[in-house]
Amino acid sequence: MFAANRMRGWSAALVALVLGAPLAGCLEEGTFVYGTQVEDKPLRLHSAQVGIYPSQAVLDDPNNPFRDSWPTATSKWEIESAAGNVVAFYSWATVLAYEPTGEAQYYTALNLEQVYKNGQAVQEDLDAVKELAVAGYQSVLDNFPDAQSFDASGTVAFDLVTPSYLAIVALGETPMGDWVLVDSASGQPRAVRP
Amino acid sequence: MRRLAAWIVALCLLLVAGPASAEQVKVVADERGMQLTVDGKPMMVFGMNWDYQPVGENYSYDFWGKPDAFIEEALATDMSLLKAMGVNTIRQYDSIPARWVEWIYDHYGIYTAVNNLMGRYGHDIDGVWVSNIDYANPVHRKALLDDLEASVKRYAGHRGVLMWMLGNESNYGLSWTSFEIEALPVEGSDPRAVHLYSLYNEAAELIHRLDGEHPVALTNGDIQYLDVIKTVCPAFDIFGTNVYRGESGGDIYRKVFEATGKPLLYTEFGADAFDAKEGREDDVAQAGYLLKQWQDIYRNAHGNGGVGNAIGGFVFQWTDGWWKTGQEIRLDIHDKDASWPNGGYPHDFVQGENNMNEEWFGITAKSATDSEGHYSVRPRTAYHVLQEAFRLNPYATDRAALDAHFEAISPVALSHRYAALRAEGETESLQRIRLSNLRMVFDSSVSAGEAATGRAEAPAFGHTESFYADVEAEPAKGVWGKLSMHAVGGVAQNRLDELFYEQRALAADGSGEVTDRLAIYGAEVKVEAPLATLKGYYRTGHAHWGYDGDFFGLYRETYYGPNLDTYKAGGPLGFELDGKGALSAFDLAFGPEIYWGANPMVIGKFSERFGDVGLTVMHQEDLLGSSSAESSFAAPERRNRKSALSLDLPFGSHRLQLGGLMSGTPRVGERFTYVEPVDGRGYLDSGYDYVADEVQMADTLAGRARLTMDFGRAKWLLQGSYHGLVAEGGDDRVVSWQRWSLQESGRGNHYAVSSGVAVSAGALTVAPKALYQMPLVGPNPKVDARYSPQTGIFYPGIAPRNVLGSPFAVLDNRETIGGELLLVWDPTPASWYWQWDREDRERGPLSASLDLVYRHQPTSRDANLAVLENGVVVPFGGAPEASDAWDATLEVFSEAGPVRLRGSVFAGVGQARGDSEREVFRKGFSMTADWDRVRLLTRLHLDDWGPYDYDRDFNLTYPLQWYGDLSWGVKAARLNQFNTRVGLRGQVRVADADSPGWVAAAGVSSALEYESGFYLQFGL
Repeated sequence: MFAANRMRGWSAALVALVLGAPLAGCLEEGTFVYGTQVEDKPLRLHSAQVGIYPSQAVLDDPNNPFRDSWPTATSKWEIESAAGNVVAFYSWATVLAYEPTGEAQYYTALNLEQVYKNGQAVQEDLDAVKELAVAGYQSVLDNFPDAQSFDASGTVAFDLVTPSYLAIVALGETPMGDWVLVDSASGQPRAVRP
Repeated sequence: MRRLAAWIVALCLLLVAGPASAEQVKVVADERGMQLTVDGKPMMVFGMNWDYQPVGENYSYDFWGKPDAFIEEALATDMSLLKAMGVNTIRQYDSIPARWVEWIYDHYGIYTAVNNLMGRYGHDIDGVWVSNIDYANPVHRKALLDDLEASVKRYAGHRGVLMWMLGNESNYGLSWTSFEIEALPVEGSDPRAVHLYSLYNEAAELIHRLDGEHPVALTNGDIQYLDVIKTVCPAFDIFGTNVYRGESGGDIYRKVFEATGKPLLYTEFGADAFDAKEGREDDVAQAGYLLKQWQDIYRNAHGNGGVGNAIGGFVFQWTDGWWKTGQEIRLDIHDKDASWPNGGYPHDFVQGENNMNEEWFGITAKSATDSEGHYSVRPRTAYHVLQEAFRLNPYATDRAALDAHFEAISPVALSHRYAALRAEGETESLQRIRLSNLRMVFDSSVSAGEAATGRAEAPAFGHTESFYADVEAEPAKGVWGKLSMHAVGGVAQNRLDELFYEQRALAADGSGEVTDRLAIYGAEVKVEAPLATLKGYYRTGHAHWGYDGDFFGLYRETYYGPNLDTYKAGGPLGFELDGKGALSAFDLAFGPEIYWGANPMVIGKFSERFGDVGLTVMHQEDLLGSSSAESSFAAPERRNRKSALSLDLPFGSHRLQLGGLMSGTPRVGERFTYVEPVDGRGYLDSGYDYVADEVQMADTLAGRARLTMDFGRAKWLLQGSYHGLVAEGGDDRVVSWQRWSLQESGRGNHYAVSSGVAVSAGALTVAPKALYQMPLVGPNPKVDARYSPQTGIFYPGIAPRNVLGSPFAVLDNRETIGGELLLVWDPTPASWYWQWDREDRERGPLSASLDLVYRHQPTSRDANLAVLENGVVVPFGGAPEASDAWDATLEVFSEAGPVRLRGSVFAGVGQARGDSEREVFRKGFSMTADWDRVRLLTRLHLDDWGPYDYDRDFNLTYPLQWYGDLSWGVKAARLNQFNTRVGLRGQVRVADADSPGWVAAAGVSSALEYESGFYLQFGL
């Protein structure tokens, strides 16, 4: 049970009465939270490392609609599938800041890549967005080498290292570290560290 | 035939020993003065304040409770030296058994002046220990007189009693604030003195009725209240007095004679052997003072031209009392702090500074204790000087001859004997830097476990070698430092208890390689200046200021026990500046981490009494915040600012404390959220409205009132407080009457009322307590955020708050209706049951406490913090549902002959600190048994959390944990003393799916792991 016991108002008045403190006499009421409209506006980078672990700059980004309450559980996937790439970037970057996982890092980079490819950032930041996308994929390789995600059923896991490796290559860059691409038993390429 | 022989032997012994009746001791007077006579023969009292207290012990050391052989050996050493010196009487409190009075007299011819303390340091009144006796109270007076009567009867007919003494400078007790020696009051004006001395008069009359053979002496503090004594206390025979006037008593003989017409006996007098000005031992100055003092006594003895009423004195004292400063702490440190000023000793007196070194009054120095518990003494120069002085019969001389005798004795000339002893035995003490302790631990063990525990099934061997060296330095007077170094040999990798201090030496890469063998374990620095004492500390403890006006617990105690090592804490680290003299009301603490987990901060305190009213003003300013930690026991805090004002208003034996606090002002304007239950679906179908708000100035205010009332057998505590949302104080560590477990939180965001009563009957105390505590704003539930693709609206989730992400949280300040019943059985009330070292202190056949606590917690709480292995602090995602909790703890202390037992039995139901919903019903016991130097320690915990913070955080439990340890030491084991010991230890744990490291396997529900080891520890 989470009864609010909102006794702050009258107890503060009591303090004012006892202490004669003018400070205690004027408590303002709070405001009800109803939800906020989230719009997929062009991305304007707030920091050079935003969205790259371990940076937490996204929590200070005034354009981040999730600064005060980050998406959890199903809402992050609802946003990923329907809210647009910029909003999804903020969503995943915020999740990454609060709960660092390879999954959050991968989808942060993926949405940055989509923002770049779709020109959804302000013109002067587009090149930086591409670099950030590469850095995000590289962060998966460096910081979350065992990163996995799950399919919609939540039971089948797939690794995120290989798509990160391939994405870096697709963006015209070379993955750093001693990662190499090999063919797996199924014939699919797989990024591994020998 | 054999029976006849036995009768003959007994008859012979009786003839040799003389009659069992005591000798007749009298005060006689003629025109030349007064004398003490024993069976008609004049006797000057060449007396000594003698006791036997080894280094590391204090006033609670029970010498007379030791085995006879131990006592005889100790007495044989000391009494031989005393007899050789010429001492004919020792002064003893009436805890000395009568048979030992007789034994000392029979073997050494030394009498005993038996001293009943008359409640000077407290007394048992109707089964309740009363620390400050009310001499006007008829109940108190009767209890003291009953005790005195019993005491006199105990010694009746025993040889060796010279006289009775009453109290111990009890007149000073009317004005001093503690039992430690304070500055001597010059004039007495306390109206309670009339009651004190009228009681003494009744006491003297009582003794005279019971024992017509021995005189009665007061034990006054100087000649304070002489006019009162003259009026209300005529019945005593000898004006005994503790006097510290330097070389001469001055006019004391005349004043005593004129006021009372009685002889004067110094019950204490002397000089310390430490030069406070130069910061060094000075045995020659001590000898010089004592020589002059005895010359003064001789001059004023019968027939020697002075007042004629001096009958002798008891030198204070035989050997140094290492416990005097602090009385319960630093018992193994020969403290050089002067604790009170006295201009009568001009050689080291500086105006405004203390010069009397209480721990250096011995005319002998004492050695460390040997393996049997004995120590040896090294006579200082004063011993030899007085030995020469006492050769002169004071009643067969005259003024000129005695002056010639005394002036021929040269302390300097006689100082070579002690100098040689000191050079031989304590050369290290002459050095400015010395190795004060050396500790070594060698530990090896073998461990194994079934596969599901995550351990190798094949036995794994490991060994740990750990070395500690304490170096003390004293580069100049008043400057002292201690540095403790730690070195590591090997570090075991196989331990079941996987966190221990030596792991600090391991490489950070997890390879198990020892790379950082040497480290600073701890350090302390102390610098004495005229107006302040500066103390620096690194990983060493300091006390809180709760008893010095810190009503809201801002400056916290830092005695963390083994946790400091287990989690390799980097603190506490800081400085304390204690004002002295004109600045005695001021204290300052500052540093990077003045308590474990603290932000860099400064705390200042002004505390002063204006008449009876105490006023304290405090301010705390955090300079930075922190975000990492070693343990969730010391989670980081956000940067803060706190100011407090409190009043202490005593009335009679009661006390009212009032305080106000402003705390958390840096958080004004910060946003927070809360929920309110609604009829209907509410926000995101949660059943609540979701509200956002900001911290305002009113939320930084707190107020608290505490009333403690003492009705003798019954004592009452009533406390109420209000803390605004962010008005955070600290834990309340002050013990009011009893150490109840049920305590109000020190956090903000709550109001609370608590009340406890302690009623005593004989050895039993029954102490119930109740607590009602309610947060102003309740905890947040966990509701997932949602996003609507149709509308594009994001609905933020609701999450439990945590102290790093929100301006406040509901944790131990959660809604609680608590009840506690505390039962204490303590037949030895003089040693307070709740003393921190009661494990050593409680020496009776049985002392015990039973604590039953129930907490009704109808609502949940917010999220706690967890500390990850890399030191990163993260909040848990939620909190468990509301749940009640209870605990029951029985503690027992028992000493029967050579065996001492300490044990506890516990059971309880509680929640983890994290977000696990699983309730834990834990139970178990622990026991430590000492038989002389052998110690057996064992504990068994069932369904309990593991030993570490993360076990409680993440709800990791074991069905069974057992530990056993059998060891033998060269000395009996003592709390906080690291003695040389060798031992065997064993450990068994049964793990299951809720245990740390569990490896799931089909068909396996539990698994066993064990460790057995051998250790050798060495300590100086």
